[in-house]
Amino acid sequence: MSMLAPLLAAALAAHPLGDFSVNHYDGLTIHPDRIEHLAIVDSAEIPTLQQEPVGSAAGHARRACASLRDAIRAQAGGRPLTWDVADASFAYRPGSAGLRTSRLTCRLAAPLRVDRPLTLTFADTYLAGTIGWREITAKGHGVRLGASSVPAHSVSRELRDYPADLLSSPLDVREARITVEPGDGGTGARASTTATGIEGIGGIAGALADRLVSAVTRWTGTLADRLNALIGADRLTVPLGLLALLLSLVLGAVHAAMPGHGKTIMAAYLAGRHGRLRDAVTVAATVTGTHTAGVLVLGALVTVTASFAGEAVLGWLGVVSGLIIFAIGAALLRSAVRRRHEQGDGHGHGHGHGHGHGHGHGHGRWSGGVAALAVAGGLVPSPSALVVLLGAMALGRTVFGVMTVVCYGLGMALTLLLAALVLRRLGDLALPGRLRRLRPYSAAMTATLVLLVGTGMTLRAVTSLA
Amino acid sequence: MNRVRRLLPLLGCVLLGCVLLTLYAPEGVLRRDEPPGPPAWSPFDLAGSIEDAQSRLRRHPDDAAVWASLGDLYLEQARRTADAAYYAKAQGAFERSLRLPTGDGEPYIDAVIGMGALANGRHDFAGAVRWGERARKAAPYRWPLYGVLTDAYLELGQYEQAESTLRRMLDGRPDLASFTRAARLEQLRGRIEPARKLLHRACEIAGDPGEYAFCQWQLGELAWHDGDPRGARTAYAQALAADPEHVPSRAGKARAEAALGRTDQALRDYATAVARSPSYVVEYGELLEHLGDRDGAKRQYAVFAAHSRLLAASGSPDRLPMGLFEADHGDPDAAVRHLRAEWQRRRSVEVADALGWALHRAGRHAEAAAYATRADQAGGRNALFAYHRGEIEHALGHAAAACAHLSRALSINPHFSPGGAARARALLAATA
Amino acid sequence: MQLTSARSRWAWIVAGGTSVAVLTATVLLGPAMRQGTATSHWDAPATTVDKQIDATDLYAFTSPERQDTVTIVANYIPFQAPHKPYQFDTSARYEVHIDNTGTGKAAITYRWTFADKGLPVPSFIRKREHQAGPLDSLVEQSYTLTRLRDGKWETLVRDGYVAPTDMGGPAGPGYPSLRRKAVRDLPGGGKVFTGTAADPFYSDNHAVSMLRFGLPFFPVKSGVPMNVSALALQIPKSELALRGDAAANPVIGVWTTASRKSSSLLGSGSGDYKQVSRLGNPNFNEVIIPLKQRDRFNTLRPEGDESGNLVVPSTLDPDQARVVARQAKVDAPPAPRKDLEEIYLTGLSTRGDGPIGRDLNSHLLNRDAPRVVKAEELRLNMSTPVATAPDKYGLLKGDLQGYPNGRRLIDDVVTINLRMLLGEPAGKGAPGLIAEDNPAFLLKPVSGSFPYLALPVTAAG
Repeated sequence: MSMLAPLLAAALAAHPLGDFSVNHYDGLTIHPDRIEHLAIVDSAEIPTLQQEPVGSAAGHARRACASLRDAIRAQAGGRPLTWDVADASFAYRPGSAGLRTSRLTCRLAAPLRVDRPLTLTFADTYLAGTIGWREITAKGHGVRLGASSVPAHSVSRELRDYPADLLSSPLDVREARITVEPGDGGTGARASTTATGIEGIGGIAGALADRLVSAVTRWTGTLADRLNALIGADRLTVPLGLLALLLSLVLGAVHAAMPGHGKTIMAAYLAGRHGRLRDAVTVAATVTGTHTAGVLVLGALVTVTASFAGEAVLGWLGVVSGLIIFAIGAALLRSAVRRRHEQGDGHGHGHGHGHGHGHGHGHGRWSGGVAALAVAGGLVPSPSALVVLLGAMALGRTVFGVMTVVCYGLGMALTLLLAALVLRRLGDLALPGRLRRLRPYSAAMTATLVLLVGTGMTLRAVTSLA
Repeated sequence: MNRVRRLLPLLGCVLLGCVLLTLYAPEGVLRRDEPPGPPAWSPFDLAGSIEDAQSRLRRHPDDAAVWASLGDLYLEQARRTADAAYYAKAQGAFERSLRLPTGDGEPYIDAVIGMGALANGRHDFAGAVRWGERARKAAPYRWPLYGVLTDAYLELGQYEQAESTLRRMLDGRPDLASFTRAARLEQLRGRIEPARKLLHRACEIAGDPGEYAFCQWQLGELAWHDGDPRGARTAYAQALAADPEHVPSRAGKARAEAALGRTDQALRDYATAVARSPSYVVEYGELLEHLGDRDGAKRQYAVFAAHSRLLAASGSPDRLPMGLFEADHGDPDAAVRHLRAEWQRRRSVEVADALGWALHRAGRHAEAAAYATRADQAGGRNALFAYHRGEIEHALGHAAAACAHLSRALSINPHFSPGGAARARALLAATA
Repeated sequence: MQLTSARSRWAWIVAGGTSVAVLTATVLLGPAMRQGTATSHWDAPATTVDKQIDATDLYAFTSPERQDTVTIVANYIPFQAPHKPYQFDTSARYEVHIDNTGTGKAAITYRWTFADKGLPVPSFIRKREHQAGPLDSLVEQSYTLTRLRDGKWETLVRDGYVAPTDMGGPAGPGYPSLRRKAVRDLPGGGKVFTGTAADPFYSDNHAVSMLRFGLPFFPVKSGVPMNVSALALQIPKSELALRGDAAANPVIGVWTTASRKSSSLLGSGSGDYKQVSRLGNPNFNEVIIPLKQRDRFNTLRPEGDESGNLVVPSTLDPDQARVVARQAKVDAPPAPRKDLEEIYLTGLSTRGDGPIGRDLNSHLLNRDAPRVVKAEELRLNMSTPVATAPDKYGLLKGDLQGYPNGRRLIDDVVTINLRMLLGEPAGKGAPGLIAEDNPAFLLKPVSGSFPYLALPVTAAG
């Protein structure tokens, strides 16, 4: 019995939220000229041990608070807030079984002028993968808080006293949304309309673009549905089949025009730039071929192996295609720079000639690059084409499915050709006045653009892989 | 001036590029976002269910059934998040339920079964058997109790009881609970194909992402033990796709990645896993140690030691992990003490193997051989057991037997423990 | 300039060499791993969400616009969220049984079995194309409908089309055609529909919390319209009636079961089909049968109800009656509850010994019934005329065509069962417990023709 008593005491002293918990508290105080943030991280025994500080406690606190600061996503009126760590401290407390718990306290501040109603958003992503209590509070000091998604006072008394009630779960609040107004409040309503006006202008363009894209998406969705209905029809007559193929042609064309296919448009542009339809056709054919092959191979893989990790493959294809574009961009930039060096400054005046000259010069390299761009463009199979194919296969209409996919690729190619033609037309029109001067740089511009897009695509693909 | 003018267009296209990037980048204006998915709630959403049950109990605090259901939900939460704090909550809820009056005047049956499941979760397997048998007496047709009993019997090494309980369960209600447990028994008996078939069936009838993740994780474990790290990784990845928080699958994936030589990914996955659950720190430490990061390994071992102290302080009876750890990374004599105590408590093949290995490490090879043989003979196709047996035979000077066991270990799973596998190969080469 | 570049080149070479060496070492040595099973114990879900074989509701009523037929709807897989595909279990048998003799034995059994039509949908596609139409065909299943009569199996439908759920979005407008496609004619003048529909079940929240007090908590958001997978039949009365004579033998008993294929263990034991779900009268298993025996009831057949020691004693003295009465602060009639026995186990008849003196739906009313036993079935008198103004409280409000004489889609069975548990219609009961003007109603109105079920709920509503 005497043995049992200390055991029980130790059990009672264990961290109330589990010895593996990392508990967060973010207390926001909004002043007219700044926002203060008290961040407390209460780590139970095990995480305390796992993140044992190296060096002095003060140094550890500074470093930890700096990374906490970097993990805060906070915006006021759409603009990110920049935080400074005003104070950092780190202390141990005795835990159970002779171990320690720890408490990190960071005081941060960010400048903020509350001279009109503002919407504040706040999210703490510090150590987001750990379990534990997460609490945010917000109060105003000299300003008035409008709607707030979080309370003003901490129910855990800033992580000192966790409610141990059987009918409550640990808090898990990771985000807050608060509206603040200047304290006097008289002009609140008017100021709010002005603010909407100002913010609105930027927003309207984005909203319009958004709406356009979503309208097109909806429309293609309907088309895809029709296509599905046709493929799944009880009896597949010739007119029905032709209609399905036509639909997939249209779907492919729209697909190529959607954002995310800037790369293919660019390939078309590169081809069209030289005014040769043959190049454009090559590009279109390559895109179609690559895309169709990609969809077929992936479809076959999915069919053969149920456990096939398709997501990963799509991700990697994205990386590969981004890298290809990046490499092409780099090569283009190099050749553009070199060409300018060769031509020297004397050539600067002969605009029209310079263009033709350059074209003749690097034709072989260019068409190779264009083909590679096209391959990159078609490399990532579009999931909707894949679904169409699988749907057809599921119904035992494999050949028809393959035909649909080919039509899908043809549709994509059609869009590209169209884009190439239009761009070619535009290119034939004399560039007005001052813009004409840009012509000698167009090679470098294109190359830089390709490079940037390649970088962006690679980055995006890599992030989606992780 | 001239130079500036020449640079201008270049700047221009950099700007243009930036604009395009902001337009198309993730969360950019023109990015075609994924179409809106299904509504965020699911009818069987765990957090939502817990909230519902809590609010109902605030209104009707004397409903034994809802208290028991809340206990089950807390238990499920503990299972999914590996957050042991929920065990205490589950216990509180079950105890409330047991105290409340019911229609037939007896303790509410699901609370009794829940206490058994809770005891299993806390590795108090004998306690689980007591609760389970009590439930069986009161309600022999309440199928979940057979799951509790089967798990406990398997951990206690009472395989005959486990089998008969399981047969009753399969007869009464073929479902995910019985199929996954049947698969486990098949695997213990070395019957890989039937186990895989059962798990596939379980995956098909999984009712929610958490259950699906569990089945896929089991498939992963099966593939891993069968020497197929690639297949294991695929299954773990499927589990994580369904439930990204599934810690055992995260750790399993890390193990498979490491076996496939993808060390960076393995370390990342381990770091994620150990940040959520203490069960994998030793594995993680062993990987770090092997990669030459002794300090990192030491830190993980320290975490393990601390966690064991916490567990001991809170009254956890399970000494198997501690014994295994001491045998490999600490004091073999202490390991023998721990495991002898555990052997008194339960006689499963895992404990037999661990005790044999600890005895071997402590230099008592003859005694070790008896336990290792027992584990290896009853433990199905387990490469680690075979390897341990081979090492012990080698220490005893039985070259031929050692050879046979070591090559069998390698044939079952060449990745079972690359350190061990390398040593097994070296020993084989030396004797050949 | 030269110097730095040379130095940096060296730095690069050294760094590269180191990393190659580290990588090689990693690959050669590999990690020393112990299998994870030793430290983490095996932790399976304690309770499982097994919806696929969960019979939720059974309806049986005279088809209002084809009064020479009876419509039977058995609903499975409850609480389907809109937008998500759900599938029947391909290793299970879903059955609807008809007892026209009153012996508790099925005279006719309709059996559905399902097969996946396409490939299993890869999860990564599912994630990307939430609203893609073609997914519908990927998760499609086909079914075979067979009929067992006089010991002979007969295939009625081969490769039937199972209506998928409405994936919402652009797929919406075309959905009614899928519904039409899923309704098929049966040989002999019947019809069948199999597939997803809006769940017609509705109830009064107060009645549910009263009736279910002390029963396991249902972790489901209430008041949210959801879908269900329906097995619906419309069968000529002459096919169902004893000796094909619906005029002389108008009473049938209906129940539905699901059986799933089990598995052998360690090479022995049978992998037979085990009955895992049984449903006749709504709420009977959860309210009348004690919780401890509920899983057992799911494995039983009606023919054994009278001789078994579970169904009859539970009906005569249900624990839940006392629990509910205590909660509602009213008195439940004393045991033995011969009224409940008459309602659930024999059907209403003046020829038996039940206290409800009314000839309604007992097999005793069948002229050619040989010997009538007590068995829990949903009993329907096919000769009861279709009510011109149906009442959702059915028999309790004098609407003889409503529950418990069969069950229509509009019947508020939870309230009716609650009131019957408290003594109606044999005694006074507690009719005012649930306000009759309560707002409980069907979340989506039923349609006027077979299968009467509303189209699936979509995310948009």
